[in-house]
Amino acid sequence: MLRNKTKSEISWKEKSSMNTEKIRKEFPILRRKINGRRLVYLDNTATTQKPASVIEAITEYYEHHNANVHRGIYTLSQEASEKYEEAHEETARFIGAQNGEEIVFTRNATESLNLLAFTLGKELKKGDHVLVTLLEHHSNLVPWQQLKEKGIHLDIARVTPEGLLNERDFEEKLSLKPKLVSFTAASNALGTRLPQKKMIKAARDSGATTIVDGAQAVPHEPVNVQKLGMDFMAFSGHKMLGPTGIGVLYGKKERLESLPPFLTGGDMIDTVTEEKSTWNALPWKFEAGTPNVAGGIGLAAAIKYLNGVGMEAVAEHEQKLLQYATNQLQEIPGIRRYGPSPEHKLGIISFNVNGIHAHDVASVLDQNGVQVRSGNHCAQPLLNALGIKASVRASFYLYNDRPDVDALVDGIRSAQKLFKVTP
Amino acid sequence: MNELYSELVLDLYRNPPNRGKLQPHNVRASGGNPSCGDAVTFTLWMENGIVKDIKFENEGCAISTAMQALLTEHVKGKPVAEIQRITEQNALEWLGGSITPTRQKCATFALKILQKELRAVEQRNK
Ligand SMILES: Cc1ncc(COP(=O)(O)O)c(C=O)c1O
Repeated sequence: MLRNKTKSEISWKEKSSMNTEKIRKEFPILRRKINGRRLVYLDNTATTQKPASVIEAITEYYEHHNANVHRGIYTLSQEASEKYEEAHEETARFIGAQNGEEIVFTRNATESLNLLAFTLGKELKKGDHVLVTLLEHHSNLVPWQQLKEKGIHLDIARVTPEGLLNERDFEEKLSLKPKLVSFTAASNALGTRLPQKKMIKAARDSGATTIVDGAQAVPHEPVNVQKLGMDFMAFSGHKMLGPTGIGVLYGKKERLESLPPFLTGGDMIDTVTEEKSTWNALPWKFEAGTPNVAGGIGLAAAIKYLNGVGMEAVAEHEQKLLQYATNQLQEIPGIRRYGPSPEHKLGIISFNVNGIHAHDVASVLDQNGVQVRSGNHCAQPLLNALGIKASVRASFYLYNDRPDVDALVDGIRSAQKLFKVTP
Repeated sequence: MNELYSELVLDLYRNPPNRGKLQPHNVRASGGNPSCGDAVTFTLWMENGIVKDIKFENEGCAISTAMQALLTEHVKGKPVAEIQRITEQNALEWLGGSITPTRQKCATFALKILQKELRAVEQRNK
């Protein structure tokens, strides 16, 4: 009796609290076949698939409410404006911001980070330091590199051989008193989570403005900006079930208010004379020109979907899948995995198969319907530091299941067979 | 048979002919495909506008390695003018199989690097 009970308890624990089967049915693309096989989409770090509710929200907007926002007093414009504004509020609630004034819609995380580098960069002076980490995506490195022309020093905190942040090095570089500290909450190349809360606190205590690249965190785990306390955060709608072309810049209200504008023109102004202009209220001051209204509405629908599942459940599901995949991959001889152990990671596995180039592994996987990324993952300095030219990357989301992992494993084995590298 | 990976490609990847550095050499052509990190260096011995000998060193996938090996085989003993006439399409045909669009760059970037360097050599000798 006792044994039985224990066993069923274990199997209950192993079962995800999420209904993956039901979720999969809500993503139309998952019905299609790739090379005659079931589509196994494992490139969620790059972008994610869209549930029917998101696709419908966008269609519904274009079929019933389309008009320019903030410009007309007629019914359609009012409806479009209300929906677009509500999308800001929905996003604010999702990340625990005070309200929609703190949410600027951009094109993507890259644009949000460029906006910050441009506007915050104006306040920097020759000799000032900016601190990032080696775990950054190029989009949180290259914009800061551009400030070097102004005589700004860019410091890069190192990683440990396992691909964790070298926290001692980060602290040492903080003692150079950087004006800005910008870092990713999680590495898109290895999956490594950074100790966000600790880093934000240390950076703020040393007097720096703090920026978090949340492109990989916000889609995959609960995030509360007021609890974390960063000044700014960037992320992309398309990586969290939303459409492409919509991104977010979160900023504390007082910080956004004191920043100069980025793009200028229509919509972002208050009054314009022939000589000069004054700026519109937040967040519109940073949304010049006709915005991506449909994109904002699509993002709000994506957030509603994620809230329906629950971000705790999403994170737990991905962690379980990561554990399962890690164990399955361990069974295959001739695999080199990169990055830390699962408990320090998001649902990302970065690896190589001995004797087969990453692109060839990805091509054979594709022949099996399995979609993975291969290459340097927009993180060349990180891969260089770890001595890797390219790797294969499989990344999970809420609609992935164990059969997806099994297809990945089978695909790797068939690549080994084809290339005759089976030991 | 695998559509992308013909026996020829797999054989050339495992045992590529002409791999290494030619010593001595009087022409060196080097470059890469930055989108994927593949890189190649050709070392050649040229005499009177003819490629007398050629070797390659590389870092790359099966498709790019197989193509670079085939390229060295094809150009050895040929005059530059003939090498300049090789098109991407010709090169893809050597490989057999069907190279999917996303992988065509893997196959063709080395040809461009070699042709570009040979053009530069010609310019210098003018
Ligand atoms: C950590 C991280 N930051 C930034 C980005 C850039 O996102 P986007 O291309 O949507 O601007 C990515 C995309 O892969 C990412 O993973």
